[in-house]
Amino acid sequence: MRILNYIKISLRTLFLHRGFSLLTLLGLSVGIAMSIFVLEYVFFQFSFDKHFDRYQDMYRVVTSGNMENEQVDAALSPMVLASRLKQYPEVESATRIVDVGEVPVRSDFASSYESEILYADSAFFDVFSTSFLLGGPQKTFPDSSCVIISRAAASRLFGDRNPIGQELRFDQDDTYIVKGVFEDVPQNSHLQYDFVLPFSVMEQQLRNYYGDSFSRMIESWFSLVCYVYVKMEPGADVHKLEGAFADEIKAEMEEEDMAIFSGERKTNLHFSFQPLHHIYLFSSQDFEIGKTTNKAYVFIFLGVAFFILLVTAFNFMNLTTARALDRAREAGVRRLFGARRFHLAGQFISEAVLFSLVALFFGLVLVELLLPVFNKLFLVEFFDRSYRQSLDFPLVLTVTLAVGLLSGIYPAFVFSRIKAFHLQSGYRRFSAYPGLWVRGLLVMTQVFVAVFVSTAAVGMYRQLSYVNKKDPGFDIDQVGILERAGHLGSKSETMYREIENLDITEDVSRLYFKPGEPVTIMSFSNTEDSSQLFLFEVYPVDSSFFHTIGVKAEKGTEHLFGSGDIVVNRQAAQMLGNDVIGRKIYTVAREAGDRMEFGIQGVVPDIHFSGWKHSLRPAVYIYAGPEEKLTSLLIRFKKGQWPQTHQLLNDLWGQSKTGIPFKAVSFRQKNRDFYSEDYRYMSLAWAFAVLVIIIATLGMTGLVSFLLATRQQELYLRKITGFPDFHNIRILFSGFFLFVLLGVLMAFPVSGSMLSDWSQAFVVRYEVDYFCFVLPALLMLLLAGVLVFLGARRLLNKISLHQF
Amino acid sequence: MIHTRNLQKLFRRGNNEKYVLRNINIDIEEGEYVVFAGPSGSGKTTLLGLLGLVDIPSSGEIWFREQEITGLSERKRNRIRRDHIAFLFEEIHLIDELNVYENIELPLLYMPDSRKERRRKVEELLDRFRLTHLRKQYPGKFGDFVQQKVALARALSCSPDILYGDEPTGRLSSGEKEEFMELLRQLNEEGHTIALATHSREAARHGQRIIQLFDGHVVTTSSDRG
Repeated sequence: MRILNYIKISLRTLFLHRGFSLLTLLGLSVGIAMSIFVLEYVFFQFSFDKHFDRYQDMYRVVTSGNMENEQVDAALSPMVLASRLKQYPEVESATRIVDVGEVPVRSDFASSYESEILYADSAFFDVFSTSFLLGGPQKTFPDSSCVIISRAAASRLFGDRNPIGQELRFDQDDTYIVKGVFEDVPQNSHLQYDFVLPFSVMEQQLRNYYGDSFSRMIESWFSLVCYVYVKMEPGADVHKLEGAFADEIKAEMEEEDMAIFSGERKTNLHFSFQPLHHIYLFSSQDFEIGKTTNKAYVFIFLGVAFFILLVTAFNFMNLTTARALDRAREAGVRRLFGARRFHLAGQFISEAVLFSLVALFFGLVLVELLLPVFNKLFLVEFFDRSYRQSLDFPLVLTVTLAVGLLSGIYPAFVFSRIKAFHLQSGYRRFSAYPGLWVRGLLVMTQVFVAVFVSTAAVGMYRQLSYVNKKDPGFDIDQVGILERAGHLGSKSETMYREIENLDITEDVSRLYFKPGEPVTIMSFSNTEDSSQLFLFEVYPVDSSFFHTIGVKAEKGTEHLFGSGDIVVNRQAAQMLGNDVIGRKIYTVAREAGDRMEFGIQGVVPDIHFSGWKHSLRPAVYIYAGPEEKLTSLLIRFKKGQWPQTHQLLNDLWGQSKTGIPFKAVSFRQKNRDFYSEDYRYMSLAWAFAVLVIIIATLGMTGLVSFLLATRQQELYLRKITGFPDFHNIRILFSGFFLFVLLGVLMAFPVSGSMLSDWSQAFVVRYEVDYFCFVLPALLMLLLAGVLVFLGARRLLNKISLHQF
Repeated sequence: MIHTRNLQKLFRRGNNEKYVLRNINIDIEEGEYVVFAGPSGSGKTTLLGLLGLVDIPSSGEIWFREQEITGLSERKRNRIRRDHIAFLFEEIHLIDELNVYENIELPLLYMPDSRKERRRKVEELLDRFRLTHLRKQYPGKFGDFVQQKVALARALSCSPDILYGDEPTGRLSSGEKEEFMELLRQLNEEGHTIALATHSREAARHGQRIIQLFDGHVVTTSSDRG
């Protein structure tokens, strides 16, 4: 029955002290809502790929080692790998996968531009357990003209019609028959796919492209061109298999290596098994096929959630104990009438839990209101059909009870120490100074977290502004890209001419690579016998490329006139030695007939197409022949006229009537998109900073109220003895400012080190400067000052003799 | 009922020591109405604290109904206080968040009484002190006299054997004081043992016996009322 009395008192406290309750509930609700979001996000991050049946038995094979003195850590594997692995009894099934990229897809009823398309072996659906809505896996890929599609893709292209047996046309004219529809892949899958095409189609395309060298390529251990996923038999030992497999293929790899490099060992690769559910969070391979994230962010968020809970609980403690005198009297009376220590502790803890439950209600309202914002910030559809349909209520309750218990512990400890004796001797003495230290430390922690998060936000902003403004080596403000132009087929040339004739454009160039995406890396030699090798990035471009991006050669010319012409960047030139102009370089191949020869026309400065998160590599720009596949058109527009150019391009695109959605983006914007994840986390840091500052302000309000409540007599006495108000306030609150200042100072090294770690992801770094720290520090000190001023002024104005 | 032998209370603050009570030997019998009188600082409040088991003496003995209670554990003292002793204070000490009914019920929550039993006792007290119409009101709205009546009802709710009052009329006007002392007198006549600490002469004259304290010593004991 006592518990009912506790609840009654708690509810009365809530209603009778509305202002105080509102502050407390505000802090608690914000804290609970934030923790729910962050924890949901963290759990989402940890949930990746765990929805597959027997996900613990699923692995991806990755390649690491050395290739011509270059470190290789690739998510890719050679084609030959899957079939060889399947011969081991431990391997239940293995599939090769190749990502098709973006292509337009048309049915008889609709068309769309699709990017989640894979080529895969028919074992794909054995490895990745899939729930089929129509059709089924038993007849997967009976021939090379079938396609299996997702529910969402079926809906986009066929509406409510039955897609089975219907035709789908990919890109220009590749036609496939729909043989099955599977349930959509959940968001928390690193591999996203809406269309699965037979791998044999891919093989045929390669055969057409490579001709005679195709058979060598699919048997090569060094051509890393596909992704290999395997499902192991339950309980199989992957490490044992890795070892056995390495032993088996060792001789074959050596033989191939010697054949390519004229009897010299240049390549040493090994294949290892990466658990499927580790890929998203822990993989750091190059050439990833799907989504991965920086695990540092997830652990930072886990830390942030912990701090928010802590700060929220501290806030409650501070505000509850700010009304120390009232509560001490109540505790004293209860002790007098027989309450024992655990009764009082139970009362204060149940009160905190009750407050948390009430705050949970408001917290849930906040969650509902903020959901669209957070969906956008986290780029996760919280609570959609494929991941989770509603809040995880056990999680929500755990968070709430944790906040309640944590918040109640200190008040319970403080007030249960009160004895009946204090009613007589006066509890003013009891409640004042011992509490000041604890409260001060709580506020110090809150200020620490607030300054830490806001410094991180300011620092991230500074770094991102810095990389955005840094010169990438070309006219970034005058270049735009018309994407998907490669899918226009024969109309792409017309489009090229029309854009060239626009008044607003200064030049147009055909692109054969995708800026921001990995480009081919090839071995070159400066001698015919491949005795000295260089790995260069290869950019196939046309003759107007350098003029379009506004780059002039440092040596020789930047003009590429025909096949066999090559321009190198400064780094490649340095590797090749002095006087490179006019010299020849060669590609490396096993057969002399496969070797290609290039004449160096000029040296251009280093150009950063992929932003400042990737180190610049030695690169060559080769004149692209008609066999190269056009990806997009690069447009040089008149300065400051991107919006108009965009509009004109849109009009031209519309006139081409291809049905392919229009997409053109300025390079300035594209550059920004390279850091989209960082921008998102920066926005989150700002959002958290604002909320943590609110919570810290509430915490400081609590401490100021406490100081005023316990030291009002002193303040009054000082006032009547003629001390000026300012002087009084300064003396009374010097301790308070010390705590705030300590919190600020503690945050500096921690946020400095966090910013420095975070910025390691960038090739160029903005030196963390005082500005990042000064702004948040000044803000907290200013807030502290305003709170003290307002509180003290209110008290000094209402002070009267009757109170003493 | 209550006996003390050589009771002393020493307060220490830093290196300073001060005896607040010295060699107190008093006996309070069942049904008595005793008043501890004396100026401020004479040790009245400290003595009530010791007798009421809210504080512990520095030396000496306290006997409660043939049992020495001086060295008892906090838990046992708590139980004796809960079952046998009640208090009134000058500062009244009602809980603002509880209404009149709930304030009176409070001590019973720490007793094994059933809900029905609690209700019966509280209703009886509300009726006796004419507070029934105020049962749902919060005490903060009332004057000190009504508040002290509620505190008296609360004190009596657990049927104490002895009621200690520390200046319970200190905040009341002279008319209210008389009325409140009359209430206490009636209670005493009904058999309640009462011990009151006061420096007010008017209040003191209501006691059957006045124990005069000065600087921590018992100076005189007189047994005439008025």
